[in-house]
Amino acid sequence: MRLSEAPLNVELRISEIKTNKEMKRKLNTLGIQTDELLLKIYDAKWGPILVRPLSNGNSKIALDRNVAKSIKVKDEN
Amino acid sequence: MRTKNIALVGQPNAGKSTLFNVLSDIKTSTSNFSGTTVKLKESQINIYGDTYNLIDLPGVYSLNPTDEVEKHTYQYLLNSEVDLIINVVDASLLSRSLEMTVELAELGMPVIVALNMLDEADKHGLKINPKKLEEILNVPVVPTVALYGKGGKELVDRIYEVSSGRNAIPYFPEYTKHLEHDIEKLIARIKPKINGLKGSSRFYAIKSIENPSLLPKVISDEILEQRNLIELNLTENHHKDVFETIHYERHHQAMKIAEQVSSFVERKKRPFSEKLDDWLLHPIIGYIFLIGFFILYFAIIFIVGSLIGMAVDAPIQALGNEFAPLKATHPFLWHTLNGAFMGFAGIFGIVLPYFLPLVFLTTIFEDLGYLSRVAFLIDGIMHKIGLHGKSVVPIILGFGCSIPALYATRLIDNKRDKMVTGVLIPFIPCSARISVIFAMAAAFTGPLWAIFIFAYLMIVIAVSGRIMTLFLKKPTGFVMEIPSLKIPSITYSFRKTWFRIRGFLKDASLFLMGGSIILGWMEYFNLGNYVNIAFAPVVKYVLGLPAELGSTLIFGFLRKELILVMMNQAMNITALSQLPLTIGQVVVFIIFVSLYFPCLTTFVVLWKELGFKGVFLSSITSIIVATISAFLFKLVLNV
Repeated sequence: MRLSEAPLNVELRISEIKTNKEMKRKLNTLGIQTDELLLKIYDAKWGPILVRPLSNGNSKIALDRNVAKSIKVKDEN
Repeated sequence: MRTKNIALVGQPNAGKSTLFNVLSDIKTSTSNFSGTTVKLKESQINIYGDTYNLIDLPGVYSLNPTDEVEKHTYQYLLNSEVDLIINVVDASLLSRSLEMTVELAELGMPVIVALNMLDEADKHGLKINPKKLEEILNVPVVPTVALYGKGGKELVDRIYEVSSGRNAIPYFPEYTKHLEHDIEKLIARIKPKINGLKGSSRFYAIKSIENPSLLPKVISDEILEQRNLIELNLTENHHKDVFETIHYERHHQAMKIAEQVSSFVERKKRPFSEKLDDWLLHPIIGYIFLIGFFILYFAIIFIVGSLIGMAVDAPIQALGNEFAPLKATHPFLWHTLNGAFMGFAGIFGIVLPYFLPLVFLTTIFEDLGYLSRVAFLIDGIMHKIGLHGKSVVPIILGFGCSIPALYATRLIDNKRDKMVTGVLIPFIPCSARISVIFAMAAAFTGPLWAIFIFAYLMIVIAVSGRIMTLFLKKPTGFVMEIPSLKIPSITYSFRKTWFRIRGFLKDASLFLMGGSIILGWMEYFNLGNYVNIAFAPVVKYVLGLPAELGSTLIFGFLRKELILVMMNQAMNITALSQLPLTIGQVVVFIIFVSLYFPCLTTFVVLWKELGFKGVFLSSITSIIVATISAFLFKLVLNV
């Protein structure tokens, strides 16, 4: 499923990131890359969402909806 | 002997600038010569008699640059004389921060790790063993809490040791076997080619796989073919872009190190800052905080600004009266002095009073971490005009004054969004233009027209933003780290405010005073008539207004309020209500004046912030939009 549609506070594993190289590199450096786990911690159904890459400890990353749509995830549990 | 250079390198929000401040202020025992901060980001420090240049480089997530800021840090490290790197690591984000440390280890330059924000890590239950990390990396690791100055002295001692010969070349972790094999092949061919280049052959070998566009020509000519074969092979095996494969390796090396040196203790209580953050980012309560923030923010700016303005008004007026007698005896000298005085009064009497509280407050909220939350909450709305959340602060500041608003565009790292925001700012009615609108509305049209004109200006901003963003490259998408909330350092905020004000004074005062003197001469040589003739085609025939109003537009370029003053002179009246204009003509004139051109100071700062292309685009857009808008109003109101 797309990250933009995923449920909140559930461990999600990133399966694919379909975007341009520049954005993919930026996401990688923030801890968002294929096979990594993250939590979606905020989604007000409009405007950007907030995720927490689990390998990063306590960081919060804001992603706008278009970017969130380009990230495919699977529910880890 | 050349002064040694120490560069502070680390990810954004790791505490580099705070640590820079701590090191700049340290008075080492053998000399009371404290660091003299040359610039905001550079300082000379003295350690046991030796002088060093300390450079605070912009925060970067990796040495594989994704934007201009990261490119600057990359080029600085590889093209400047850097003798020692202090890698500032955010201990609360240990594994991700160590990715940068692993990358610096590949560079092969002396490194000291400042393990910063240990208090934050502790709050989140993360216990870290600096000694173990020191063993693994083979470089000095100094635990610090820069906000409270902890660790600064020990860091100074380690710098001195390394400078005196202690080895600080980090061990670099090995990648997986087949990748190491490829790297070795490339190293063998790169080694003979890197004489005189900074950075190790390993660094260039890995960088060639990761991002060949970064390679010096002498190296890419040598290995590009072989490198492309390696890329083909890696992409087939890993089903990923090669830069992802390389990043993956670093990510796992950093995770491995982080697991070896740290342990996690379940926290009984969530830190207060996290609970506060749940409220600040709440889909409803967050917006209540946001409205409160903006009310507080603007109230303080306008109250403090007007207090400062009132305080400086009397001395400024007194200064003006000093040379008033010259008007009768030496009119040319008077017009020259008065022109310079008008520029001076414009800066110190109108712009600076608001600029001071604004820059200080913005610095405080920036360091607190709240500005990024504002950008996050407002991003959805800004999308409607093709921009992102980070543009909201400059746009809202524009209602006060365009100059600080243009300075605030520095918060926007995306070039496209910065350009569009910068071009839109002059459309926003600043306090000077608002006073013109309300003064003329009060004298002629009544408040309803003032509100209608205001609404029209908002539509112009939204539509212009939308149109401009259609022609520009599609935005790269809003991705931003929300830093943890931190208590800002007041001394550092004062220091940052001072450097920004000094920067503004240096840029704006020369142009503004020079421009004002020229306008003073225009008044002296009565060139107004020629200006009226020059502007008549637009003023008279397009806008249907008396040609005499043409010269007021020139003075409006200096300062908007001058339009009101110069109208009396141009039309030979003593009060606005005596203006021989119909209501329709007044509305057309207000619309044109509200949109036509920014003031001289804004023009200067626009040029500085956006370059010639930006200021040219802004000027042309302003004149076109102003003329079309005024002409539409003329047709509708049958002027």
